[in-house]
Parts: sequence; structure tokens; C-alpha cells
Amino acid sequence: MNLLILIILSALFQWIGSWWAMAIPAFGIGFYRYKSGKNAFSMGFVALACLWFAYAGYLDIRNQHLLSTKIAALLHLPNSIWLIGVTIIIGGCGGGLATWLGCEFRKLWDELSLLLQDKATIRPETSGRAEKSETMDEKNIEPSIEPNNNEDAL
Amino acid sequence: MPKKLRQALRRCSISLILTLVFFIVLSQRFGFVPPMGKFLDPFQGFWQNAEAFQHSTKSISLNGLQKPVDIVFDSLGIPHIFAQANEDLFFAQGYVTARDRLWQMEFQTQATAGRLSEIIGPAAIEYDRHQRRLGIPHAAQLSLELMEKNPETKMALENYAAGVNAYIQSLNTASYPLEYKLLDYAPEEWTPLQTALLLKYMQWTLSGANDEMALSNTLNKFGPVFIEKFYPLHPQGVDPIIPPETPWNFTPIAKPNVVNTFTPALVGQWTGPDKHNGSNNFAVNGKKVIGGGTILANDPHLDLSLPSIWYAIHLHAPNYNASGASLPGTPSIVIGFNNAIAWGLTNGKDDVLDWYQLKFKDSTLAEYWHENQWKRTTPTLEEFKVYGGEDIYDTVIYTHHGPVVIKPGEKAFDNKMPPAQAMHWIANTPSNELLAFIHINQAQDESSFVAALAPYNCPAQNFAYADKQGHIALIHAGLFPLRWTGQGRLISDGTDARFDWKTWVPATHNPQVTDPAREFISSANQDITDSTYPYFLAADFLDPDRGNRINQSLSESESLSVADIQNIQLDNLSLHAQLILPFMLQALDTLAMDEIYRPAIADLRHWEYHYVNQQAAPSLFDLWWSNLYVSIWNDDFGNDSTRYIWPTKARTRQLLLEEPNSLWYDDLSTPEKENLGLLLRRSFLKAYATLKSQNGNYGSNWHWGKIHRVNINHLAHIPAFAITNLTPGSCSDCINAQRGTNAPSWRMVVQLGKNFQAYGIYPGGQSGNPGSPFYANFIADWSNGKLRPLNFPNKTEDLKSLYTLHLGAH
Repeated sequence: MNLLILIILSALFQWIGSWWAMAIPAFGIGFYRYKSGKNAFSMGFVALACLWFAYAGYLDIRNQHLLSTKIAALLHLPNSIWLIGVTIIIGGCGGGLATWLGCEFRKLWDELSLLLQDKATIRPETSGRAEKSETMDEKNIEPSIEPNNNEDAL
Repeated sequence: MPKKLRQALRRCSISLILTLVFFIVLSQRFGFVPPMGKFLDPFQGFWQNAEAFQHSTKSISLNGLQKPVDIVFDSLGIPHIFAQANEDLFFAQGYVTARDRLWQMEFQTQATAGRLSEIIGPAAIEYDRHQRRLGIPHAAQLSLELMEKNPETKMALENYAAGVNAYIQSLNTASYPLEYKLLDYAPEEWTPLQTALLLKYMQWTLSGANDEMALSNTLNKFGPVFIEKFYPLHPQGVDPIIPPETPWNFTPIAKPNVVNTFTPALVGQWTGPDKHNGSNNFAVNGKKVIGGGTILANDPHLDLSLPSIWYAIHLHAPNYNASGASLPGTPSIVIGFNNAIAWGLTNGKDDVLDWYQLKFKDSTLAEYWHENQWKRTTPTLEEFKVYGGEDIYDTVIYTHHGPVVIKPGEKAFDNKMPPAQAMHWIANTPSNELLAFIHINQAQDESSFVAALAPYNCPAQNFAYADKQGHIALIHAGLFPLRWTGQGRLISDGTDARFDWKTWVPATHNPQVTDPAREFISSANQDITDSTYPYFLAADFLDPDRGNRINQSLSESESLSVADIQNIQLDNLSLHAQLILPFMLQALDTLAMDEIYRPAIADLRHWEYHYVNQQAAPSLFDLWWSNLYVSIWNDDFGNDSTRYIWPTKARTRQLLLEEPNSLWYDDLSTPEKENLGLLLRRSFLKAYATLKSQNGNYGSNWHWGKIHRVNINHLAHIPAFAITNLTPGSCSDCINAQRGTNAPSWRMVVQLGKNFQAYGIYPGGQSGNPGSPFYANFIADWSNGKLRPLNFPNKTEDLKSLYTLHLGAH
């Protein structure tokens, strides 16, 4: 589900904006949907790799590999399959990094709000609850705050 | 701070830094490495230039059109523009040319303007400075002012520019041509100045090089007798462009009478114009044409590039109906035909550029000596913006002759220019060639054609003409300084006013011929006239072999079809080989006894002088001759042989045939005394050994097709976009002259009269996009010598179209 949402959103953002516009939805998905950096990166990578693979592949087939063969030669790659490979890796890394960043930013956000909350009202229950949820997430036993976890997306 | 927070902060920082670095780095160009993320993005990057093989009909609304225009594309991708006014016609030409060739148009004009370092970076600074020093951007500005004074050319330039800009405005980062994405920049607004720059670019290409420096150095070394003997004003064996019996229908004006006693200083390292390039045009009429009418053929040869130099187009409006090859960036057709006439061009090779050796007062270059007084130079400051670097400045010094291209003590940029000399180039005088082309496009008969040429100055061209009434003509058009005989062949004395250009040869006195008795006209960059022509235009024309071969082929034939004419264009017989090989072979009589050389010599004896791919004889002869030529002259001209100009191939041939015992055959670098026979044998054995070491034993590996190659480079020298290793089965002496990157840039054959038909092809394709199926689709046919029928419909319905663009007025 996360994967599909990210593919659709980044397609939309890239259609309108520059190539780095993919980072906006990827960051958002990472922020709202992920607690594990590793999983966030994987999902973001796969989503953008799929999107770039599908679109570049479509354009390439429609063009009968005419241009991709030349660009592969220009970039000193053996053939157009390698060029698609490099395209996928760059798209994927962009998506993965931005999703991971979103996730890590969320974790920091949570820690910060926890800290501020702790300072405002020193109530042992609150702190205990937060402590517990954090532990659970790290062990990856059950869904955290958000209903959808990474598993079902992948 | 809690441990968890610290950990989260660290992780967040790491991911933030990595993400930022990734996106920033991959959005940057590094030298010639494109911004990889941006470039590989399928939504905006190069994948968007991977053009579909299918095109569909489209309707577009544009500001600036008066009435709707239909642009119908035929199966070759050639647009046929149907407009209702000339304004709209040029607008649509600009629009559609930009659609196919925008990057090329802009890149060429930026290169001409000396602004490449804005795109390329510091690597282009030297080139840019050289362009500014030549005064070309300044000359373009002056010509533009003249063109804008004429309402017709002003209209054409402005509407063309509006059309180009309408296309540029329709672009976004995803639809920019590929090269913009590679170099990460954006197209600028198109202005009429860019058309002026493009015309200067062609003028410079065709008239910007001559032999003055090398001939001056040669005079310095060998003296005037040698020059007279080996570089005569009218070489032997030339069938001039204007047939010798043609009368001159004018009273010549008196030319100055000056005896040149000036000895120019020796100038440095030099590379001169390539003497092996060449263009042809010819036309036949009368009983030489099967089915009547006239047939005109033209193949201008240039250094090829992709996107191609030419863009084929058909322009149709109520008072305009012309088709042929246009220069991307310039309104009108340059070489082509209309409903009544056809015309073709070859380069005139006239001397319209002189170098003046200057005497400066001091190192400030503020004053120079002329007519017994110090005159002030005019310095102009040039600014260069550099991609990825600081702006730089340069001062160009102008004298009344022209700019000082290389200042005293400077190193020449391309080894072509002498230091401390001023360049007087005819194209530094403003002119309006565009007006000539627009009028030629609309000309209906010979008188309107000749009238159209009146504003034509540079580069001097041999205009071949044919019309449907059955007339043919050859007009040598251009503006020429009125020279004393020999003036400008050598470097001129910049202090002496007798060397200045004072007036011009009246245009009506230019060499021309109409309907000659031999029923054909032709030109192949050889001498224009015989010695009866009263003016001196130049002396260093190309060898006469191609011209003689064309004239021979046309004289021999009684009734010619379009197919016969095409075959003449593709002729690969070397007249040079035919004239010299039997003589050369005589020296090999004893060698021919040798088991090893017998097969090769036998093949040479049986060779019919055609440079065909499937024979070894052309390979062997070609190298044998080259070795011989070098062994005759190399020792005489010494180690720095590039400073001098060697006698031409044809003149050397004449020496061999007429003076077999000449002293020039002795190799000064050896103690023994060589004669011609020894030189011939030695150079043969050397050629044989070279071919054997490179291609193995004598046999099919020695075939010409395995040795001779033609390459077409991309304009920005991007190897992946080039087409290389073509095997045209031709040579540089043949009519179908091809060598290195120089070859026919456009081949056209048109029959006028009741059996109208037109054929054309050029090495490239209509699209400038390396990702388009139309990028190089003509090359295979071009290389195999096939021409494509050119459609010439009178209305849109007459054409089987691939797709149509309907341009609507807002």
C-alpha cells in the first residue's frame, strides 16, 4: 500500500516539478508510515526504482532503444540495459534516501516532543508508555502509532 | 540530553546529509559529465528525447500568425509549408526548423559569436577569443543593420525569429533538445542577429582561408622563378568554368598597374585550406536531355556534421513556391528549385581575404604606419562570460584594413594566422545575401535570377542555373576588389596604400555564360576563366581534374536522363590516376618480374581507375602516389614543411610527365643522386610494405573499402552521436569527392520542363535529435549513392503525408 501510494505521488510530483521533487512524497511517507529506517529506505528505493524503470522502459521500447544505445555509449556503459540499471539505481537511491530521511526525522520529532512533554508535565505514566512503544517498535513486534506498517507494503 | 534523543539526532543528521548530498551532487554538471539525476530522470531528463517512431497530426495555436498555416510532413520528414502570406511562411519556417534543429541553430550562432565558453566553460575561451579577434560578431552586427534597412529582409528575419521563439516558448525542461540537457543550459530567445551570425559562419567557412602565408614563405625560400613555374596564374590543363570562347560583353574598367616588390617576413607554422575538398554543379539543355527541358545537378561538399548542415524544406505561399536545402537559422532556400527554375552552388575560391603586414609604433599597438604617417588603431573591448569561471576581457585592435587577429608575440590559435598582421576580409563589409536568396527563390527566368544576385557579395559562388524554357547559365557571383594582377596572392604591405582595396569589379563584369554552344555548364572549384578575362580574381584554385572529368562526361553524352546525371555525380573515376599511373608503372618493369609483387602490379595494370571498394589497386595506387609526392618535395621544403605550400598534385603530375629528368627528384637528404625511376620504385615498395604490415598479405584485405573511410562527427564532437566508418567507394580526386569528414553535403538533381522531377539527399536526417528515427535515416542511401524523390506538391491534398501540423492564428 505504501509502495503504491509513493509511486503514484512521486509520479505526480515529478511530472510537475524537477527530478528531486520525488523527495517530497518520499519524505512524507517515511515520516508518517515508518519506524524502521532500513525498511523505509528499502520501500522508497523499490518504489522509485519501479517508477523510473517502468517509465524509462516504456520510453525506451517506444523508441526501439535508439537513444538509450547512444547514451549508454556516451556514459561508457556496455549497453542500454546497463543504462536502465543505472537509471533505476539513481531513482531508487533518491527515493530510498528521502523516505529514510522522513523516517529518521519522525523519530527525532517523536523524541523531541517526548522530551518537551516530559519537561512540561512530569508524569511517570506518560514517560512509561512512550518508553514501551519505542521498545516494541525496535523489536518490530506490532504496528506502532500508524495502522499500516512496512510489512504489508512490501 | 537523553541517549535516545542523541541517537535519533545523529541518525537524522546522517540521513539528512546523505540525502542532500545525493540530490545536490546529482543536480550538478561536472565538466562534461551531465547532472546525472536530472539527466537520467525519465520525466524530465534524456529519456524524454527518446522520440516515438509514430507521429500524429497536431493543431497548435500561436501568437504572431496572420492566417492559419498547414505544414505537411512527407515520408522523409520534409515539411511542406502552405501559408497565405510571406510573413506567415517565414514564421512557419522558423517554427518548424526550430522544432527539428533548435540546438544546432543556437550552438552554431553562439560559436560564431565567440560565446561558447558561456556553455562549455574555460576550455572554449581560446576559440571564443579567436572568433572575436576575427571581427566576425562585429561584422554580423553591421550586416544585420543593412538587412534591417531593407523591408523585405527585415520582414523575413523578424517573422522567422518570431516563429523560432514561438517554438522556444512552447518548450519546458522536459522537452528541451537533448544537448541542452547534456550541457545543462537553456535556449535563449532567438534574434535576427543570430541569422546574421549564421550567414557569417557560412561566409567564413567558404572564404576564410587562403594560401597567402604559405605562398609568401615559399617565395621567401625558393624565389620568384620557382613560384612562376610551380604556382602559375593560369595552370596548364584547366578547362575553366566559363568556356574559353565566351565573349566578355562589357568594357573593362582600368585596373591599377603595380609591380610588387614587397618581400613579406617569414611567418610561422601554418596549416592551409584543404585542397582536396570540392563541390560540383552542372546543367544540360537542348538535345542533351531526353524528353527535352533542362537538368541541373549540384553537390556542394563541406565538412560534414550531425545534425546536418542542411534542412530540406518546401515553402509555399501565393507568391512563393520554392523547395530544396535551407540553412537552419536562415529564412529562405539556399540551394533548390521552384516551379520555373533550379539553381545550385559551388564555392568560387576567389581571393577575398588579404593579410597586411603592419608596422606598429610601439608595443601599445596604438599607432601603425600607413601612407607615410602614423595612424591610430581602434581598440574595442570584448567581454567573455565563462561557465564555471571568472569573466575575462580582451581588446581587439582594428586598423582601416581590418582586425589584428594575432598580436605581436602571441601564438596563433589555429596555426592559420600570421602575427602582427591585419586581416581585410570582404565579409567585414556589410552585405545582404539574404535578399539575394529570397529573390532567387521567387525568380521565374534568367533575367530575374541575375537581378536577384545583385546584392550577393560573399562567399563568392558559382551559381548554376537552369529553367523550364530550356535555358542554362553559370554566373560567378560575389563582390571582388579590383586588384592589380597578383595582388593579394602574397602577404600585403600594410604600410603601402597601393596594397589597399580601393574599388570593386562591377558586378555586371563578373564572369558568366548563358546557353553555351556545348549545351552544358559546369563548375568544380577550378579556375573561373582563361587569361582573356580582364580582371584578376585569384590564382589558387583547386586542381582541374574533377571539372575536366565532368566536362568530359557531359561532352561525350548525347542524350542524358536524370539517372545518367545522378551517375555522373557518383562517378569514382580518378582522372589523376588515369593520367599518371601508366607512366608510373613503366618504372616497375623489373619489379614486376618478382614473384611477390607480380599480382599487385598486374592488378594495377588492369585497373580502370575507378575507386571501387572491392579492388586493391586503388589502395595501392593511392598510397604509392602519396609516398612519391612526399619523396619529391619533402626534402626540398625541409623539416618545417607545413610552413610552405607544396606544388599541387596536378602540377607535380605535369612535372613528372614533362620533365622526367628534373633535378627536383634528387633527395637532398641522401648522398646518392636519385632519379625519378628510383623514387618511383622506392615509393612503391614503401607503399607495399606499409599495406602489408597493416593489412597482411596482398588480397581482399587490401581492398579500398577496407581502407578508405568517411566519418560524420556530431557538431559538439560527441562521439556517441557520430556516424563513422562509412565506405563510400570514392576518392578525393573523383567527382564524388569524399575524404575524411569532407563529402557531398547535399546531392540534388532536378529536371525542369514538362517532365519535371526532382531528387535530393543529404548525409543526415531532418531531425537534429540523436534520439529521433529521423536523425540519420538518409545516411545509408546517401553513402550508397541513392537519391530520394523530392515531392513538390501544389496544395496539401497532393501529398501523401506522414503527419500534419496545423498552425492556427490566435
